[in-house]
Amino acid sequence: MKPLIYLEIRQIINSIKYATRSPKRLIPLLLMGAWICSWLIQGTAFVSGDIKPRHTDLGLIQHLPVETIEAIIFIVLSIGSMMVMYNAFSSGTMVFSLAHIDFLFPTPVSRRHVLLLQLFKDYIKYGFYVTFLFLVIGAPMYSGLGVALFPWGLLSITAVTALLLTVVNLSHTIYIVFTFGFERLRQAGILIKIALGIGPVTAVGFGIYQYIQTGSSYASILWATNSPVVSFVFAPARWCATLLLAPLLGVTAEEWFHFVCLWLLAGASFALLMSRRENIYEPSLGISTRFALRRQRMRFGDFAGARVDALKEKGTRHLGGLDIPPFGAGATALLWKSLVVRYRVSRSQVALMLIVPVLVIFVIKHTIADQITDMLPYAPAVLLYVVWLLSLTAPTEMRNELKQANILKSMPIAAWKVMLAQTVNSVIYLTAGVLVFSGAMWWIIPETRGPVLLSCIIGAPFLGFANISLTAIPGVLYPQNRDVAQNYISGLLSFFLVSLAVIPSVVLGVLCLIFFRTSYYTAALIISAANIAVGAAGVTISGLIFRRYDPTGD
Amino acid sequence: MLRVSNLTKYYKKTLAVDSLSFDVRDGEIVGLLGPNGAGKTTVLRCVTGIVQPTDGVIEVEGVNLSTNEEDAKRRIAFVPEVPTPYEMLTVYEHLRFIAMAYQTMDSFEERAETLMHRFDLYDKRGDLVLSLSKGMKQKLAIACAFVHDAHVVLLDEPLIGIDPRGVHELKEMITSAKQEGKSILISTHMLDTAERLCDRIIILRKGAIVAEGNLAELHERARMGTDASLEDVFLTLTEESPTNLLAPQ
Repeated sequence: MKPLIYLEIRQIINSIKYATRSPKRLIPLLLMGAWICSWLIQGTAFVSGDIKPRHTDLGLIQHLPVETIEAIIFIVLSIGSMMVMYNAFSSGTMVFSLAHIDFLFPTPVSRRHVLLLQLFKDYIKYGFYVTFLFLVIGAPMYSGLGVALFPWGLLSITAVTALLLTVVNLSHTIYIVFTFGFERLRQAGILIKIALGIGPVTAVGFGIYQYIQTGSSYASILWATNSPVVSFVFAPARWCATLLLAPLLGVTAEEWFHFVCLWLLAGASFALLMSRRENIYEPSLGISTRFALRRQRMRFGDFAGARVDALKEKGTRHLGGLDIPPFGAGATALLWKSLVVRYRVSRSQVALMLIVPVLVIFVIKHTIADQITDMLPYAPAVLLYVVWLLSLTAPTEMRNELKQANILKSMPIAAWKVMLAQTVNSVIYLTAGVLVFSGAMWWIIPETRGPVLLSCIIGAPFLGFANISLTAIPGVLYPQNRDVAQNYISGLLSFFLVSLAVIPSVVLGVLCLIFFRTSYYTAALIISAANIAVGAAGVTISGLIFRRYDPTGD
Repeated sequence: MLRVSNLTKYYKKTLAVDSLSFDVRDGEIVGLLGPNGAGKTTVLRCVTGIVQPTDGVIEVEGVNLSTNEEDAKRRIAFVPEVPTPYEMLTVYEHLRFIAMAYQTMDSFEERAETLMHRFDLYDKRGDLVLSLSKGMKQKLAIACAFVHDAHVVLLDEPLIGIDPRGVHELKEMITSAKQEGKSILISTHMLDTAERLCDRIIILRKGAIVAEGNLAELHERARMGTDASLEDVFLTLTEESPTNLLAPQ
């Protein structure tokens, strides 16, 4: 145990020293710390009654019967627990660092000690998360209800922690035993999976039966969650749900007993995990490597890389769906490549791009559309805001593209054409988004059909071209997405430039429509011409920067 | 001495190592060669206890790895392929941690100083590992392997990424370890290094041994003249041909 304690202590001390010696690292850390502290202080202030929530009316929650709130908590806890345990049959959650794999696992340090320390670290983390969430969400809520959170809130926090530890310990045990254990154990695992599945199946059965009998969905859900099989299979989640309401309802002797049972379960599951003789190292190898890679990608904002990793993990060889056939030569071929790669890397985003606008427009139609009927013909102007928003993602794309700068620079294509191809790629996706959005407007809200919508459809791609060509400049200027400072400056500059790019459109729009009273179409054409000029300037500037860009330097 | 008998490893239903048996005697350097995916790293991971063999016995100086893991591991040093050391430790602390883990603190200071000098790490002993280049991290991993007095040394692609001086130092260390009677197993793709450094070579393909022996024996096995290089022998023996899947001689 001594080497492990030495390792942990030295790493903590060195991390603190490392963070405090550079303002670049210290400032984000202080901001994050201040953010967490502000929540904790606010939570404790609610608890002590020093402050009251601004809105004492908690809306729906205030009017819900206690048994409904308990049922909701129970459903969340039991489904969550079950999903974690089901997943454990295929994928583990015990994550070690790559350094542990390379340098600790081969040493003679006892595996039990390694596991014990890892669990201890995880437990502290979970305890903190539970307390933090309870103070952030629970404190203002109970304060709004005029109920003191403590002392019973402490019971709630410890009860949830006990349930969490039980679920985590069991999921680790399941993964180690049933995924990497002997074949006969794997078969036993299937039986446990079936037993776990009985709970939700009977719940659904009970629910449907009650719905047929009573016709009330509310009563059916309550019946289903209170059915004997569900209550038995998910008893710990039931106890925990009741104990979470302790500040509101107090604690009975039976609930005290359940509280003790929860901790006994946590202890028993810990003992069960520690008693296993299977090698914990091998089951953790795959997940640890994947986790380390993903964390690195996320830290550097490399979402495309993360998506590629996910495809690799799935063993994907081909992607179905839209097939973009090769076209063009030189810069046009580059455009084709960028379109294909972007589609493959962010297919789920493309799918969302098709669904979200329809949903948003649908919600608007059925909520506020009746109250703003006079404004509806001008509502398509919101498309310009959508263009502005989507343009902000362009630098990330540009920086991802520049990771292949070695290849791009060696191609016999002029630098400005490379930049143009990249800009047009983003403009095409942006235009597709705008078309879906405006199509949804046209289809769902007939009042928007008119010259404003058509003018916006004409003008949006050109405004996008101007915005994207300018926001691409910081992407080329600060290409290193591994550098936090470059990320920050690039983001800030992009925001400034995209705001700058909108100015000609706003000024020309005001001049055309208010002073010269031209038609919407004429205004759209004039603004589009101006945006083409701005876009061309942006492409020229980013092309000049790219020509001098050294892919080997940092 | 390292003895591996009937080592078999399945990853779910994929056979990675197939009934592999070999030994590395005291004072011997054995090279483990094979194309990508042949199972070299899996063999080394099984021997170091990172991965659990599906079947077979691994003995380190007569100590069974599965029944007496900690004792067996104490006798092994391991240099992983593309090592990822603890970034938040300094070079000195990293070596110290490894020495503590192997419970060999007696002559640590002296050994650590010598190793840091040999691998150009002395000037960086107070620097965090995260500030080291890839090559320096590799050197640190090698230093970690030699900071405790192991009798069996396992090296997985140890020469990748280090400068010529580092390569020279490592070769010197391997040779002197051999002279001290240690058993050394090197997994590598560098055939010329294997040819010059190793006493015996084991060639793996699809988790099984296709050939084993010294260079002369390998020439004979590949039915090639003595003037043929190890590269020619390797390419011949690892060709996708049914005759090459025969049991080793």
